[in-house]
Amino acid sequence: MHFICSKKDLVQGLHIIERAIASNDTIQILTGINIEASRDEITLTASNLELTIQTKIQGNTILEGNFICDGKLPSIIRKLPDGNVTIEVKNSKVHITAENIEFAINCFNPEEEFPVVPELINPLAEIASDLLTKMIKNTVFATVNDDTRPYLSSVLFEFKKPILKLVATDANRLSLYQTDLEKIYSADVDLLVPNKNLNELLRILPNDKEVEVILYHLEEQLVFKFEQTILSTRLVNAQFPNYQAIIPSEQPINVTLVKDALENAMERAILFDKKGTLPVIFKAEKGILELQTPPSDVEQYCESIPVEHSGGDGKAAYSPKFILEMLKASDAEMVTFEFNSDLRQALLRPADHKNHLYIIMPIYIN
Amino acid sequence: MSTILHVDMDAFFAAVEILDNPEYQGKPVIVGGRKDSKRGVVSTCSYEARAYGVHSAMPIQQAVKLCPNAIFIPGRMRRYQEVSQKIHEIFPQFSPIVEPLSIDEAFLDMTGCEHFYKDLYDMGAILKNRIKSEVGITASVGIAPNKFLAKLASGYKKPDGLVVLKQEDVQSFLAGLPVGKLWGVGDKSQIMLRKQGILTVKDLLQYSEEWLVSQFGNFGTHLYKLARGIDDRKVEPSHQAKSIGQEVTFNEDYDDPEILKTVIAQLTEKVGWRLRHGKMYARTVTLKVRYYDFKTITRAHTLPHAIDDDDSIYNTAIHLFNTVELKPIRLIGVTVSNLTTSKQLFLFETEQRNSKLSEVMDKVNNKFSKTAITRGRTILPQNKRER
Repeated sequence: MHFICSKKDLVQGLHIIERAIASNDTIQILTGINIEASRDEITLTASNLELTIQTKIQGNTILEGNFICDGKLPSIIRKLPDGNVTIEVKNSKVHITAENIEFAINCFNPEEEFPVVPELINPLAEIASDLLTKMIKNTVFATVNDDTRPYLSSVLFEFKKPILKLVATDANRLSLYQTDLEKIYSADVDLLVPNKNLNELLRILPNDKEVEVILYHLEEQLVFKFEQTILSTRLVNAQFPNYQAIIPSEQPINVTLVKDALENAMERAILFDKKGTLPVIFKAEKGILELQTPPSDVEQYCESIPVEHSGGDGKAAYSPKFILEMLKASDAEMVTFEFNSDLRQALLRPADHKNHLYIIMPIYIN
Repeated sequence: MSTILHVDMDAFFAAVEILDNPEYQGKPVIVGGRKDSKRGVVSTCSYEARAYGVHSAMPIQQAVKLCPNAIFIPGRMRRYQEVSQKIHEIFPQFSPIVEPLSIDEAFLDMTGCEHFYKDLYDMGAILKNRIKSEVGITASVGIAPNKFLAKLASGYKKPDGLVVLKQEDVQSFLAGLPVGKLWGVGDKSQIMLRKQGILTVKDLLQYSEEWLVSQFGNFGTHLYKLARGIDDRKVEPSHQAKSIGQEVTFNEDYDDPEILKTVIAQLTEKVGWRLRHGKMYARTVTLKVRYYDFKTITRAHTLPHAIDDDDSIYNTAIHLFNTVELKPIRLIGVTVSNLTTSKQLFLFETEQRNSKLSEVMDKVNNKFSKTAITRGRTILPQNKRER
């Protein structure tokens, strides 16, 4: 096996797959990278069984073949000078050469089985890459890592023709982003995808409306295919809570304001929140939104912002962290916050459309 | 060098009774129960009663035998709290750093305030006079370089005492004391120490830290430092409690998980009740275990959310208990910390249910008695009840 490719292409390809390389795995072969050289393309694959990523780069193959290279490869390639890199397997060593530099590293016995990316037929759906990016970004932050309740560590993908919904919750708040999607090809299906793997997908997904992402649902996996890349994630087998039941209807207090104004205010409000438990009291009165931390003889923050205000006056306390995380993910210009003084759930959403709903529970102050 | 002042009211409850009833002056006064009280214990008694051998924690009936002519009073907590508040209002005028310890005790960090007074005796005398003239009862004051020594000093010449302990006198002051005077050394520890021939602080000084640790675990380090008058604790002005805990020392050592889990359930109910009574929520639960050999360990777990219900505290404490080694245990304790006054609410019903149950149980217990309603897990199975 012997090929030549540009350092730049190889670095890009390895960057895409490297987060799927298993660390200290009991299955040693998974700590490596599967490299396959065919006539004019090189296929790179990494897998930790939870997550498999495969991508293709251009290359000039001198001798076709397949080998599993030590996981150190990306850090070595990054340190090489720009230009061409030659990779050759000789005497069960991988030889990496660039200009007058040569590395020889281990390669695993090719007899061992490396997970294969299954054949992809019968797509589940098709979605523009920028839209999928936006949907994941606006939901995945609301998850929490919880081993005992895996549905809190995953995002629900609900395919119900012609609508795709992504829903995530940590049991205190819930984020729901929905979109009209004509290109759903299968019957209705609910899939739970681990948050960790979605964050990896976000890292490599191009924020480009021209790029189409094709989704495939295999038995225990969801596969995302775009450009030269395939990402396959394990699905979570759990029951997602009945979120429809907790979406609030009419709210008595309703304020609309510039998103940045609220985001900046929350950045200030969170300054005292070292433990992540200090609430901020939201008080709407006669067109003014008053924000303040609970009265204390130690330290206090308060701020008032003029807002579009409809409905009644009232107040309730919320976690500034929860509000801030939603605002940071959103690209809305104006946001609407609908709440109540009765310790029931509130609703934060972009002012101009109802595709994104963010439901949060207040903080009870004793 | 710090200057720490410990102030401790003399026979506080009895003193308040004498203050309100001047005719009791000079007579033995016993607070804790009426003369016919079957199960009451002495809470406080005047120095006149102490002369008859009466002391706190003694059953009332035994006190009646020792001192049949004493004035027996069940106690008026509200009045004591009122007087206590008056006393505690005086302290901040002496130091900005005050740590109230109990209804009748406090530490004042006087470091840097020394030059306001002629000397440290003058400092103590002025405070004592203020209390006497404004409240009408006497206090004992100890002034020393740290909390442990200040507390020892205040107790040295009770009642109406004033003891100043200077660094250069610490070693000679400590050497003559019985080990039982050291902070944290109770009856059982004294027995253990006596077995090794250690009766006084002077005896304790003969041993190396390594040897004490090999005999008593972490407690050995504690003993080593105290015998040398070392105590690094700061005076902590706490507007609100930093933690709420309950612990129990057993009459005999236990290693039966069923009994120990029952005790954890009982401690949990007390901690939970105090937490809710203080309108607080906690995020951290700590389990403390002291083994038969005095080796003491603590295990803590911090939850993602603030809790105040017994089930959450119990489940976390049991989870911690399951991680500790099971050897004969002499003391077990449950503490909650990381306290807040607010609680993030949940979206889904199941999460709220536990809190509601505790709330209802509290209502019943507040109305009737503290143990009117309890969980089955706090009661030992018949075959394991006290033999």
